[in-house]
Amino acid sequence: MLGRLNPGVSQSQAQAELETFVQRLTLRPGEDRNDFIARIVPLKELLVRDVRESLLIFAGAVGFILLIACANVANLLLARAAGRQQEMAVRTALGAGRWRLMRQLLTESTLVSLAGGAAGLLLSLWGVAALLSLAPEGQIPRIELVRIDGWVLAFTFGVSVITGIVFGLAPAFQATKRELREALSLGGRTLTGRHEGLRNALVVAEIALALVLLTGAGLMLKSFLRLRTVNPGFRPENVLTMTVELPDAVYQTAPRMQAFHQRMLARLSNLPGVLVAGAVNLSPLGGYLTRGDFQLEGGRPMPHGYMVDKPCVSPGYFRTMGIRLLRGRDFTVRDNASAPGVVIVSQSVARRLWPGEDAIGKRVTEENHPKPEDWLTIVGVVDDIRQTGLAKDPDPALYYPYLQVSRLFWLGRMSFAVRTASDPLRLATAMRAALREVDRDLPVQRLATMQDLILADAAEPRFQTRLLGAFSLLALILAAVGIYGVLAYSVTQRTHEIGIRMALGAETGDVLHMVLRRTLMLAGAGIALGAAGALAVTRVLAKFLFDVKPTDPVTFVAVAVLLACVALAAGLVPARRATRVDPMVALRYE
Amino acid sequence: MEPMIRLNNIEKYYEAGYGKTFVLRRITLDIKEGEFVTIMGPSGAGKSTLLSILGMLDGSWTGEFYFAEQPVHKLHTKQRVEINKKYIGFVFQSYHLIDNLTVYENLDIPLSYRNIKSAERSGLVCDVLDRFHIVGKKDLYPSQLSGGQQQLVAVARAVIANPKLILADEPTGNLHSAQGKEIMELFKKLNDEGTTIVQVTHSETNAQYGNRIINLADGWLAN
Repeated sequence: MLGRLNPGVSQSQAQAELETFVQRLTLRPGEDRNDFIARIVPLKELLVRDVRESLLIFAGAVGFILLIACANVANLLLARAAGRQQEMAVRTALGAGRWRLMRQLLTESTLVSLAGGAAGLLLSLWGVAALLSLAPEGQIPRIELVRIDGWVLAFTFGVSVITGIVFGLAPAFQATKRELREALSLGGRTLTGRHEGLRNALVVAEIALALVLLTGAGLMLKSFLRLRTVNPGFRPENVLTMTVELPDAVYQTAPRMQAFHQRMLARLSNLPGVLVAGAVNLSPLGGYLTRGDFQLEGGRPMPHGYMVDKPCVSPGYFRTMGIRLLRGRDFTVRDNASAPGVVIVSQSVARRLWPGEDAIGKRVTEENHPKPEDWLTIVGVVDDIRQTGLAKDPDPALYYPYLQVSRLFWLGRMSFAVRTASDPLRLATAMRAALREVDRDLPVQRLATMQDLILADAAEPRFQTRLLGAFSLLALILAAVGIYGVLAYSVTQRTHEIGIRMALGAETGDVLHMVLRRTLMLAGAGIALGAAGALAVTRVLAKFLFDVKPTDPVTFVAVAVLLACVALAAGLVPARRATRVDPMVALRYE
Repeated sequence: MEPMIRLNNIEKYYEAGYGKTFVLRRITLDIKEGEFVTIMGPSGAGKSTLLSILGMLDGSWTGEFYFAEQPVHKLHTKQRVEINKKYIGFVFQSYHLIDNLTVYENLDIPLSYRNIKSAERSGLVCDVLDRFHIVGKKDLYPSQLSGGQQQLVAVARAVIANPKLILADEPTGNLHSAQGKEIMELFKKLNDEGTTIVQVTHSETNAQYGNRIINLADGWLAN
C-alpha cells in the first residue's frame, strides 16, 4: 500500500495509527490477528535500502581511483617542474614574482586536469552504458535515470578544477622555490634526487590505494566463488517453477484453493517430459517467507527465540526439488483434512530439538492450548535448504501438507514445480497451457527455472564483484603506470650515476638489481601501508561477504604478491633501459 | 716480457650517411707494465675514446687488443667487464663522484662490485681513507668538498681495488694549479709503487710526470 502522510504527521504517529487499525480488523475464518504486522516504511528507504551501502562502497572505490590518477599526474608535474627550474629562474631574474609563477603553473596543471576531465566525459558516454549493462536487472532502483546530465558535467568540471589546483600546488611550489643562482648554474641540467622523496611518497600512496581496492575485489571474488559452489540443499537443474496467485474474490475457501492445486498438479504430472511435479507456497529463493514458532509435546520448552520456516507443500514436492528425504516418509494425498495432522521437519530442527533421538513420531503443535486434534506428528526428516538466499544459512523448516492447511494466505500463492528429463524451459508453454485449462482467468505471476533463481540470487554479488574487479584492475594499471613513470624518470636522472657505476665495475645484474631493489622498496612500503589501510577499510565489505572474513589472510597475501609482481614488471622496463646505458655517453653527458 | 697492453690496428668509426666518420685510425702501440704514459693531442683527436677502449668502456671498435696477454677483441662484454674490475681504475676530469653518497660510500662502490665481504670492504675503505688523509671527510657528501678534495677522493676510489692500471682522463682539468700538482704527485707516487698509469692531458707540465708521451691528431698516432 502506498500513501502520502499529511503535513505535520510523523512516521511514528502514522505507525501507531496503523497498528490500531490492524487491531480492529475483522478477521475471516482461518485468519489469526498475530499473522498481520503493520509497518510504515518510507518509500525512499524502501527503494535504496539494499543498495545504499553497496553504492557508497563503489563511490569510495571511484574516489580511490581518482586519487591514484591524481598522484600520477602530480608525479608527472613534479618531473616537469624539475626540468623547468632554470626556466623559472630565468623568469624570476626577469622580474616575475613567485605568485605570478605559481599562477602560471597552476593554470597549466588545471588545463591538463580539465583536458583529462573532458576525455573522461567522452569515455563515460560509452562507459556508463557498459557499467549499467553489468547491473543486475531490477535490483538497482532508478537505474534508468542514470545518464550524463548537467549535474554530471558540473561535477566533472568541479572535480577537474579542484584536482588540477590541489595536485598542481606541490609541483608549482617546488618549481618556484629554487635559489636563483643555483638554478641558473644548472645550465639546463636538473638536479638528481630533488623531489625524489615526494615522488616516492606519491607512488607508495598509489600502491597502497591500489592494494586496498585489490584486496576488496579479491575478497568479493573469493566470496562469489564460494557462493557459486555452495550447496543450496536442493538440485536446481531441470526444474521449472510457475507461481500463481489465487484471487480472494474467486477462491474464498481453503478446499476451493486445494482443489485448484490438485487439478494443476494432476495436469502437470501428466505433461510429456515431466518426471515429477510438486507445489510449495514458499519457493526456495522465491523472496517470500513465513516464519514462526511451535510447541513441543510434553511441555518441553522451545529454545528461546527459535523460529522456523513454515512452507506448505504437496506430495512429491521434495522429489521435484531434489530435497533429500533422510528418514521417514513423504506426504501423500491421504494426508488431508480428514487425516491426523502430520508434518515433516528439516534435519537441523530434528537435531536441535531431539538431539540423539529419532524425530519421527514426535508431536508438535501451533496452538498454545492444543486440543487432541491439534497435534501434528512428524513423519519425515528432510535436508536443510537455503530458503532465503545462497549466502544465508540454511533455514530450519517445518513442512506442512497443503491438504491439511486451512489458512487462506498460506494457500493463496503457490509455486508449481516440475522436474524434467531435459531442458525445463521446453515445458514453459505446456505449463502455461495447463494453467489456462484449469483456470483461464489466472495470470502467471512468475515462470522461472530454479537455475535462473539461483543466478538472480547471485546477481548482486556478481555485479559487485565485477564492478569492484574492474575498478581495482584500473587501479592496478594506474599504479603500474605510476611506478613505471617514477622509475623511468629516475633512470633518466641517474644515467650519469649509472655510467659511473658501470665504469667502476658494475655489471648488468648490478644495475638491474639497483633499479629493481628500488622498485621493491617502493612496492614494499606501499603494500605495508595498503595492508594496514585494507584491514581498516575491508570491514565495510563484511556485510557483502559470504564465508570469507574481511581479514582473510590468503587474499591479503595473494593481492600483495600480485601487486609486487606488477610493480616488478613495471620496474623491469626502466631497469633494462638502465642496463643499456653506455658509460661513455653517460660520462660525457656531464 | 709481453707488454701489459698491445693495440694492433685499432680503428673506431661512426656510420655517417653513406660513409664513415673515423675517430681512431690504425692505432698500434704497446704499453708496458709500470709505465706512466701520457696521451696528448688537440680536442677531437680521439684521446678520450682511446682511453675508453683501454678501460673496456667502449666495445665497438675493430682491430686487435691484448690486455695482459688476453685477446680483448675476442672477449664478450661480460669478460671485458671482468678485466675492467680486476685490473683497471678510472679517474675522470669531472671527478664523477656520486652526489647522494658520502665519501665513505663512494669509496665502497668499486669494492661492492667485486664480491668482497662487507667486513673486508670496511677495512679496505678505512685503509684508503687513512692513506689519502681524508678520514675526517668520510661522512661528507661530494658537494661539501672542494674540487681538489673531490678529485682526491676520486683517485682514492680508483686505487681502492688495487688496480694494475689507472686510466686518468684530464685528472687536473677542473683543478687550480696547486691542487693539480698534488694530484699529479699522487699519480707519480702510485706509479713508483708499480701501478701503470695512462693519462690524457693538455698540460705539458702534467705530461712531464710521465715517462712517455703519445700524440694523437685526427685519430692518428702522430709520432
